[in-house]
Amino acid sequence: MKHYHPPNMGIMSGVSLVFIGTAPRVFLHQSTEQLSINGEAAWLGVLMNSLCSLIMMLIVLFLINKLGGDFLSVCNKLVGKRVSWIIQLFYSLIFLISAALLLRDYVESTKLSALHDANYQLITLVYGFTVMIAAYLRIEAIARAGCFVLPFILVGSILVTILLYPFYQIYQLLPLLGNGFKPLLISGFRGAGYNLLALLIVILAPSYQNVRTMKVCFLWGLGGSAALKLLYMLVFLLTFGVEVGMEKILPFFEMARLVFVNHYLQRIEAPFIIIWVMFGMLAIALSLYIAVYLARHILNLTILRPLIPLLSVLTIAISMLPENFDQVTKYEGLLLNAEAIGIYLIPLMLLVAYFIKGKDEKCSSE
Amino acid sequence: MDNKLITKIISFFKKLILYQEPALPDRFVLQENDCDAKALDSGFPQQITQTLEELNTLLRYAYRLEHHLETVVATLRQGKRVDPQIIQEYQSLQKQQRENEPLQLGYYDNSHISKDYPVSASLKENAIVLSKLYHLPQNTGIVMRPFTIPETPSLKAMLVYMEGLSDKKYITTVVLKPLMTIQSQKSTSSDDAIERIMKENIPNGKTKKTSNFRDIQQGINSGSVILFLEGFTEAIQVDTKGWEHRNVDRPVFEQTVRGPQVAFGEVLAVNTSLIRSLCRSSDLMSEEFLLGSRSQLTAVVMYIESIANPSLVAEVKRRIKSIQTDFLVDSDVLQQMIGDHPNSPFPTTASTERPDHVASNLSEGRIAILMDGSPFVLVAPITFFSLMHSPEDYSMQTPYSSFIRVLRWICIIIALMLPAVFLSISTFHQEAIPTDLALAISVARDQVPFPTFIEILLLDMAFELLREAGLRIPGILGPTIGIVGGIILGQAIVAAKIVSPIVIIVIATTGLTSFVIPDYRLSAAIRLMRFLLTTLAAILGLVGVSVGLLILLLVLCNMKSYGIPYMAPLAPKTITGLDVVIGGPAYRQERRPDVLQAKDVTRQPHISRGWIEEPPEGSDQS
Repeated sequence: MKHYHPPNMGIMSGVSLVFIGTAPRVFLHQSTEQLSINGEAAWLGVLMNSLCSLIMMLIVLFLINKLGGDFLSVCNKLVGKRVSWIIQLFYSLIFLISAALLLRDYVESTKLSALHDANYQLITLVYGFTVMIAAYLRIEAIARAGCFVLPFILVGSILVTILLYPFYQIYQLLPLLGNGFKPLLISGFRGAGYNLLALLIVILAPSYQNVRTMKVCFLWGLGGSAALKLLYMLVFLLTFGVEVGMEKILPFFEMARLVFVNHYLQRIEAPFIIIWVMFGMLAIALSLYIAVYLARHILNLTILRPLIPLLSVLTIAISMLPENFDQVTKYEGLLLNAEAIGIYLIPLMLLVAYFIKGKDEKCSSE
Repeated sequence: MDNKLITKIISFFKKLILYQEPALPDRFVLQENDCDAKALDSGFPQQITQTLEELNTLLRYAYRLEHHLETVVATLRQGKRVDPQIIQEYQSLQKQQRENEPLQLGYYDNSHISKDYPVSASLKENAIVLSKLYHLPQNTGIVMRPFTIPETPSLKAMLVYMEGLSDKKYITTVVLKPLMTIQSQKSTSSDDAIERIMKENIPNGKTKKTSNFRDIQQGINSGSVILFLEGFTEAIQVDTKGWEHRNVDRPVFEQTVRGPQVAFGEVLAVNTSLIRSLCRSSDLMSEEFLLGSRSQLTAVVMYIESIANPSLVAEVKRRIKSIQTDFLVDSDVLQQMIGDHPNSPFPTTASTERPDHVASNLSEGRIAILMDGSPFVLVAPITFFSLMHSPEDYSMQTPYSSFIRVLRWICIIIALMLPAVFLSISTFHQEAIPTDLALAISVARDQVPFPTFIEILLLDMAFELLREAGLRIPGILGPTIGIVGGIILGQAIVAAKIVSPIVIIVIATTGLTSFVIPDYRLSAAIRLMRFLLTTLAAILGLVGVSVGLLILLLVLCNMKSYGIPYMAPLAPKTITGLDVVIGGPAYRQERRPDVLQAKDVTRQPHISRGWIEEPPEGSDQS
């Protein structure tokens, strides 16, 4: 029987994984939500939640640097096996539900943008099958495919923002504080939950050479995704403004649709379908894979692949539960709270545990 | 019958539900070199090896001396006169004793024989040195032929040459026959014996003396034969070059405008010599394997010992050795036996008919696998990107070859995606095309009774049929029928309003671009994937294309060719020379591809063109 070994991965793979894991909602309705909460200061909210997630990841890296091993072994050492088991179950469930809701989000977006008449169950099945194949081929293939998709996303994004230049209205960024400081602060902190999947680097720590490599992956991955989100938010604000922007369900699609350079270069949203579908599928597969990886740990299994078809079917089933798009948004709001616990509370709890007992060399699950 | 059917159905569902990971070992992954650790460890064992080799040399000398003394004692006890043979042996021993002085032995490190190592007076020592230099007996290319010159006294000699590079008939006629039938009464023990043999017994215009193994290796690797004589610290080099060249044939499938125009044939020895004629390195290894219990054909694994990664070589040899079949007659069948993904349409080895292509791959640290009777040589490991390189890229000026490479990549995208994208846009996303064009497409399709998908499928199949028929029809008729058939069929099919003219343009462009892909098997794989993408496009438009592309990308990223990632050097990102998509000039190719984990990573120094740092002759330095 083959035992599962985490593969060896380099900086480029790590960066692409973090980027894919943290930026998929940029093609969905995240920007509109930010806009409705923070108004003109939405871009500041994006900046804040990216900075918060980076700080939390650096805290987890600090713990791994001190105690060695990966995130799961750090949990074992600091809070004991039973609590660690609960933490793993919590993260596994969050990643599984996140994969399911992201899948539903992409299905709804596909219906809204590319395939108005298609049956949503057919799209769900096709996407679900693709995600299952991606997860089945494991993290190495996802990371490498991400390396290929990433440049197209960056070039495409920059191209759209440049081509929209004639529509920019600088005054739409004012007032800078938008709806005020309080909602900015709350949404800025809470939004860090969107970046929870960045934790995969420390969950898969044995795949990376050392803590320095992981730090570079966090800095470039989170930094890159923050830059992309920031760019989109700014361009979205500059182009549509708060009032019109709040009406747009798919900001990126609407921005690409607005492009008009001449008779032959206009409405370029169709080619971008290829990019954002690929990006979304990779992100869902990544979330599912980490959920499966944690489930393997929880159930103490030697192999991982047999769980993938099972959890893929579960993901598809969960994604079909919400009755409509509004319900998806509602559940996503609830999930964001849980993700915020995952990104703030658990790492801070581990940090406190480290300072209470972690410095002692005997600190272990025993 | 019923029972069997029910059992089959139950076992099918059992397999489906109770999934079990196949009990296979982990797949081979080429690990990174541990050069630094080796460098740290190398000091002490090397000294021991050197001392051991010195002791072995002295021991061999002692055995020889003991044997000589026993012969002398036996002769004297019998009351006979000491014959010239014994005197000759004594003189040889004297010379060997001088070679075996400790200082001399220490200077010439036996464990790592340098090229300047001198010729020994002992034939046996020379044979040992050659065995080490050419990695005998694994390396089967070198021939060592001991014989005796019937002079008075008789003289032991040895001929050494490279099979395939030297003309065997010429060696027999010009070197071996005159020496073996010599009738001279002059003593061979005199110091001028070599000069005399060269002048009187070898009827060849290009004959010279050599005294070190640097010249000897150069001679052997260039097709000369080397004659060693017992008791002499010099050898005779006779020019007997005789490898196959130019008269073999021109490449059929890999034709180029520039560069060498030689292709492999069906004879294994000729093929190995063609490679050796382009890569005259002493450590170009060729190891033979017998394949097929009934076909009994020889396969040869060739690699450059000082460059190729030992784990990689061992893995390739392990795979070949493990084959158990009765009939294996072609290198492409061998590829199916040893390849990493035999079920994938994408090739994991390059199959080439060009010796220059093989030689350049060997110099990068890859391995060539030749089979007797097959004009195609396998090269492994390869990456997707290396399959997009053509041998001609290196013969043209780099800006042009880079342009052609970029064009090739555009062509592969068109060959893969054009029908699928056309189908998606014309059926699902009409807003993506300008109104005029949309109207033109609509008018062209006005009287066509089929949906676009059927149109594309019909025409694509017809194109594949014409291509296949063109290949099977012999001689010049093939392409002619292809062209004529294409024109007639195209016109008729439009006139009959079965397909629209724009679909003909799409399929013709797709077909044309698929022929630009340099590797035939890669081109076939792309054509196959095109059908898959077109079908997905018919179901979900661009979303289907996107899903298909992603699955294809994931499968390619998961593939390995003999332990190295198929999509390297981009995924995973590895260090490589300026030779992935955009090619750089030859002097910029400083490193071998990192992904091959070659023993020697550096191909040439940072500044390989020494002349740019030197002042021109006669110029004023001030």
